[in-house]
Amino acid sequence: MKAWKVLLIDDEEDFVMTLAERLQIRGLCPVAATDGETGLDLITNESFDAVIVDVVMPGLSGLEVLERIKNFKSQIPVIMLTGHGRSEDGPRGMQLGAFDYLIKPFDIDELIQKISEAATRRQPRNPHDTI
Amino acid sequence: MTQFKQTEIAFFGRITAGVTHELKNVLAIVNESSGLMQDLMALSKETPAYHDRFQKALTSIKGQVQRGHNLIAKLNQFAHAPDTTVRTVELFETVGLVVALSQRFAALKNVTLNIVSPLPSEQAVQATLNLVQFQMALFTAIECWLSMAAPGNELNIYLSKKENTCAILLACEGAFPAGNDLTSGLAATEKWPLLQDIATTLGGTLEIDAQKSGILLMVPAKHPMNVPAE
Repeated sequence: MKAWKVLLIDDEEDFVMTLAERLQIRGLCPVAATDGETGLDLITNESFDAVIVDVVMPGLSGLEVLERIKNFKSQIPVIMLTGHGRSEDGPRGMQLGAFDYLIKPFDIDELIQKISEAATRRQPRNPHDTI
Repeated sequence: MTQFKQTEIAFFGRITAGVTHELKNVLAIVNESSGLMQDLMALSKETPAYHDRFQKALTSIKGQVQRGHNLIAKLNQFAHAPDTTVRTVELFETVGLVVALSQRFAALKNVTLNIVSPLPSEQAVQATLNLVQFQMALFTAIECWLSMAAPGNELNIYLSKKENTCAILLACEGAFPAGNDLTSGLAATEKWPLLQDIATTLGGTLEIDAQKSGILLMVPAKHPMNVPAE
């Protein structure tokens, strides 16, 4: 397993911190943010192999965060976290360019598998990317 | 259904759907926290005291998280029913949801509910109807049937569609009050008049099938525009 550097964005602090700790135990390098704005600041200043973002958050929603990422760092794969399998959020995220989506609660091995796939198949850098 | 009643139902739906999302987050935190405990136990160089007991408890938590996840997903789906007054639905899926949400009521009477799988060609049976009213009709039919059932009975639910009519037969397996007893018994149940009203509102019909110890609900596959609103 490569030490992928991943950004986790979720407003549920207990969730995001615990998930980060579990990913770290498995050899990944997670960075946690509890809102979309902070997440976007981190993406602007640091390099990540993948971003995992919850859809429903106060302030910037996960879909808005995804849209902004696709506007300025389109090569970063984004995995959406949704609450419900039947909601339109996951497919909507895919339409907006998300790599994939997972339904909470999920198995951590499934998340790591998706991170690995996303980071490996990372899209080539878009010439319009600002950074 | 009046506009105000529709608004009231939609209000309950929206609140419930919102809360189910929060509950999913609660389950996700429980899931990750118990997972972290398992990770830390696996990392421990020495076998901690009560190791097996901890493992058993953590496995139980994982199972209950999955159970809660399944229930909440169904509740969320149910809460979205009033989003649109009339819509096209997959009948098999819709009946499956109502049956799943009715299982607890059946279990309290030691009764089993089953949907008899239709043929593959019939699984995609679609109906355009008032979803809330249809779900309520089906649930009320199950309630009426349960009020007559004996412990150990099985209620099989059969779906079929002929031309523009969907038929839902709730039939009994096992000893059940037969013939006239069933007819008079069901008609005397508290919810029967309500069930008749809902069936009529849906533009459908309701029959007691004494031979099969069951209830036959037939509704138009297309919403009957000629049925006057309340």
